[in-house]
Amino acid sequence: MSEIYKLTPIHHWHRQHGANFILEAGWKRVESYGNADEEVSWVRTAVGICDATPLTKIDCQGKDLVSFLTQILAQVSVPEPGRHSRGRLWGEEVYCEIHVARLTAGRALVFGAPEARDALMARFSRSAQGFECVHVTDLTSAFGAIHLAGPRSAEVLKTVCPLRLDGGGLLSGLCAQAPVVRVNAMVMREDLMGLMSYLILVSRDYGEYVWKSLMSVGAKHQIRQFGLTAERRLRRGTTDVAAVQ
Amino acid sequence: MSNNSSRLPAAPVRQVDYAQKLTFYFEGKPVQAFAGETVAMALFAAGRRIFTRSFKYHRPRGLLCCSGDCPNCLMHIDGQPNQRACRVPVREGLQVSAQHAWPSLDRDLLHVIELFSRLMPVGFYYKTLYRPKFLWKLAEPVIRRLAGLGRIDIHNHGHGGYGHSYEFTDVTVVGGGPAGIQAALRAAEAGVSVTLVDAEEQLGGHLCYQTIPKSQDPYEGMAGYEVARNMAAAVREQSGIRVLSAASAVGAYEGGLVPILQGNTLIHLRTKCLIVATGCHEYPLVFRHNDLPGVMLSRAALRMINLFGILPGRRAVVVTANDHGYVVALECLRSGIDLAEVVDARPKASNCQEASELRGQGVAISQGCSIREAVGKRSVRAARLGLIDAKGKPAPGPAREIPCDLVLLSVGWQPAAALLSQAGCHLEFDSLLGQAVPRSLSPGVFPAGEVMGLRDLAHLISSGEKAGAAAVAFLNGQSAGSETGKVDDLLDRLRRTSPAFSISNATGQEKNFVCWCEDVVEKDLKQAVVEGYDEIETLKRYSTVSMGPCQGRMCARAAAEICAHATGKDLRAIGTTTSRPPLVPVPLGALAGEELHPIKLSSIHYKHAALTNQTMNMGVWKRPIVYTSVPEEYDAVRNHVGLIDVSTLGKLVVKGRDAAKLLDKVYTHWFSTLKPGRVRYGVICDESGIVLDDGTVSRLGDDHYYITTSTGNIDFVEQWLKWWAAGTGWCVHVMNVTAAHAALNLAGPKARDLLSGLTDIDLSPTAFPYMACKEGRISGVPALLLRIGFVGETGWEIHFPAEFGEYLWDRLLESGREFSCRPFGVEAQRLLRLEKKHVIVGQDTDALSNPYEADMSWVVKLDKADFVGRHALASLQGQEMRNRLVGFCMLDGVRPQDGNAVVIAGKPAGRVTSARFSPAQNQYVGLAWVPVEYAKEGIRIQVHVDGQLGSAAIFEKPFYDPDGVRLK
Repeated sequence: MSEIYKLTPIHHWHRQHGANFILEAGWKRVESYGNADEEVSWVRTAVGICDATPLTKIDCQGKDLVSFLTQILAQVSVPEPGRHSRGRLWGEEVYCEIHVARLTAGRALVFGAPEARDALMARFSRSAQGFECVHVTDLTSAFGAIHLAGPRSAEVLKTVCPLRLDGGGLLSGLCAQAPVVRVNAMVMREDLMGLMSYLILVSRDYGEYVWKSLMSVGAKHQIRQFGLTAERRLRRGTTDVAAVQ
Repeated sequence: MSNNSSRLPAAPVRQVDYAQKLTFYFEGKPVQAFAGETVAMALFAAGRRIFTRSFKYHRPRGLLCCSGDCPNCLMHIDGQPNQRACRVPVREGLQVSAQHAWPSLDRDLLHVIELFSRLMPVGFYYKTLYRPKFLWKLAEPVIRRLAGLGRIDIHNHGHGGYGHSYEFTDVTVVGGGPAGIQAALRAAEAGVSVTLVDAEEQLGGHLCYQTIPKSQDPYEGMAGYEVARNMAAAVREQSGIRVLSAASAVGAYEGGLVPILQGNTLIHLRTKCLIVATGCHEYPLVFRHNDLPGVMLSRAALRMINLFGILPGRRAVVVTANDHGYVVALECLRSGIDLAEVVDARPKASNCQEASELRGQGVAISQGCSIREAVGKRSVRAARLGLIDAKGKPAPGPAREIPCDLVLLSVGWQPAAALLSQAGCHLEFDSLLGQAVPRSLSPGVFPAGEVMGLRDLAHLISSGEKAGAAAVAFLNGQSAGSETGKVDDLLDRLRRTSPAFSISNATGQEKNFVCWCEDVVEKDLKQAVVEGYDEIETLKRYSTVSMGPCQGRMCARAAAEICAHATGKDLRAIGTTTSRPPLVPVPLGALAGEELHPIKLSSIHYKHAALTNQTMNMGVWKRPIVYTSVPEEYDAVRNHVGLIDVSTLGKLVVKGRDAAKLLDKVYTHWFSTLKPGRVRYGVICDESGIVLDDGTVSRLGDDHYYITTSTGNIDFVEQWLKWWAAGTGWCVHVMNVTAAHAALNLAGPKARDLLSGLTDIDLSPTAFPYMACKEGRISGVPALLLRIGFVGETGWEIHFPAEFGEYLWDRLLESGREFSCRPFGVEAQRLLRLEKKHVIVGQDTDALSNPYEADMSWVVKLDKADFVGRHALASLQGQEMRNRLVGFCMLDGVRPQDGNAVVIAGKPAGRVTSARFSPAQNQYVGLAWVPVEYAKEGIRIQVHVDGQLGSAAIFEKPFYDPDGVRLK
């Protein structure tokens, strides 16, 4: 029997485009498409796209959401609706970097490293039992996650997403729900070392369609795909979900 | 086409690059041009005077406005019809051809239609082609072929490149003339973001083609084009201004949305403030044969002479009613045109500087005089001039004929105020000024420049300054001040200096054109008014005036005036027609944007694609229809084991203390009584008891349910549950997990044997009975197993994280080899479920089906105090049903199809919803709606199939395993 593995919804596109895969937390992830150095420099000067689907995603909902998050995220302040923040989760056996995006007053999405999925889910489920109305659901499998980064990333995104991306709009630290290439999406802006960067979450079954569409509309901006190695280099020096793990 | 003598020498005002020669093709023949020229200019310079043929009568038409407003230069350019040749820049190799002419533009035999013009009065097709009825069917295709605009090449999809973009700004200024530029500068200086939209490549508006030096400070001594360049430079130097050149506003919508068309891109621009500096449209005069090539608007001549260095004619008559006519006349004279005469409708001589200079150079100027007729057949040969009375109408007396090849009209302007109207501003006709002017403004919308009725450069700049300041004040939450009063002062001065004149000199029943687009003449409008269409809106609809490509830019003013004369009302009472988007022609491709067709793929899609190319679109999903053959796949499920990907099923998680309450409220069945670890079939009805969806509900814990829905209804069911939960205060949360879980249905007599080898879960009938559910691992993959049987065999629906989709699919097929396991597709699944009479909601039911008639009465639990649809269903229970969904089996081998009619006693009485050949019955079977009195075992019905009637018998029980033994 072959080793168990997990695939992102964009896996076959990666394979057709010369990706080198590594197995990480059971996921077949793209290490690079040949030359990580080139990928880094391209993203820094133009725009790049990376498959971030393996990120752990835990949905937290309920009337007691703020109390719940306040307790469980002892070292992280609970962001206001429409904002996201990074921090660390302390306590018991789980110690890891997490990223909390507050979608609405009663709903938040918590991101963590792929390998922390089971531990985070267990911790959140256990803690939720102490609250009258908090429900946690593992939505890691529900979303395809696409990372769009580089100085021209907003130029690509604004052709397919009606969100305001400039000065008065989706600045770093903000998140919003809006259509991207005509499907519902959650868009988070989080710059990497000052490099403009967006995380786009879409329903997993639309993952390949959204990826291909972004590649298509981004062609005139010279968009290129990049892998995990490039992504980590771009993050280096920042708080890094993947690297800390 | 080789005559280049109309070109003028290079000059600073030109926008032509004489160093760069280009060649393009008109009707396949090469035409020489220079970079910076438009197609129309290059063709004119090459000698062409006829550019298109008119819509109805195929009359020759030449350049009229040269600014993209009129329909007189519509051509087929690079595969796209209805392109305005005066707006399309020449490119190397461009292919241009005429449209709406046969066999050629110059010799259009369809011109013969004009001979029958008396038979085609306004609205003739309403009056003459409706009886006998077949006449219109014969006439319509002929009319469509002879009339109309260009033809779309539906086989050519090669243009592409369309796209959308979403932009945001504080202030949008539409119009890059002096007023618009000044407004943008003023706003940007205050630190707000400004988007300046202009239809031209160069900023400056009408100044760009003016060479006569200005007399006002701070631009005294500078030519108009120099002022424009100075102002454009100021825009470049000012931070905070984004210029969208060669772009047009499409309309003004709620929420500050001002879509902008720039090339093939539609920009969704959201703005907090809108400054409308769109200027005005010069309109033509109505007189006999006013559509002849050689009759041209004054601004068109200025553009040709100054921007492109092309002489519009050799000998000109200038017809005017304002001082601008003298500016045009002087520019013509300086460019070398022989100025035959200037005729000014005003009785008193103008004392403007240009008029004095013309007099000094001996140019004949006639006061109180205007044009009565353009003489010529294919182009202007002469102008017939005569005196007019105080109302602007022809006065008694003979007309003089002046030989010329060019008649320039400078008789008035109407504001380009459509954007203001769409933004909610109110415009009112000013009878002294002779045009509509803005009277009340919407919050955050400000006019500037000529659109307000202003003409003088200093006033234009001043109004732009004020509009910019008002926009900034609005953004800061302050009042815009009393600027409107100051503008009124300016307008008063203008009223005194430039009174309006009638724009119709027409007499008699001749071809005095009002609407160039639709070939509507003055007598058509008068006739329409006589027939009762005496309101401008109904007049427009009946006569089609202003409904063509110019959208009223050329004709709205004249139509209003003719309507006013004919009805005895004044223009203020007549008003204007409603302005609607789009303001400019927008290609459908630009509206559609990128070719994006959302498509959902199951996590196992590529495994299916490797096995079969027979897929079907099911909503946004792609599903395999069949892998090998339906009989083979059927056999695998009935006798061995089959595997199907059912990931497309909708899946919801419902959690919370009150989850059971919500499900009891929404479903017809009980779910609070469902024990954890059990599965129950559920039906959702609306308030009137109509079946909306069905699926399974599994209870995973006290406060935790897992629901499946039909593929196409998941979004609806999710919203339906949330709708009924909203406002209740219940602790319940609904989560759509369709994408999170892949789902496989493993079914067949050997399914248990296969699955047992991959899991530790006890799958025995006692430990895992029918309609139970368990969580565990299959080949190491965490999964939820539902023991259900849509296809009528022992089986499990396995739900698991989608990222394991391909892995688990492979494991099951590998392990299934020894059990002759096969994948099966949608077609086999539909046959298998039909043999069990399992209903597909939406296919076997419709918008009138209730559970009783759909043979699902067992799912309605009226012992519940309340649920959605209970009241209606309780009422229905006591009533006699009219129809029922029943099974039927054909008796004579006729092959029925979905949708065939059920015939009883020779009359249609129902319909087939599903039909397939059943191996179990060795006959075609199906489901059908029939009158309830026929819904009894063994009753004979007939099915109408391709013109023949097949006999069938009603089957009350399932066609296969009627007692459900194999499921358990």
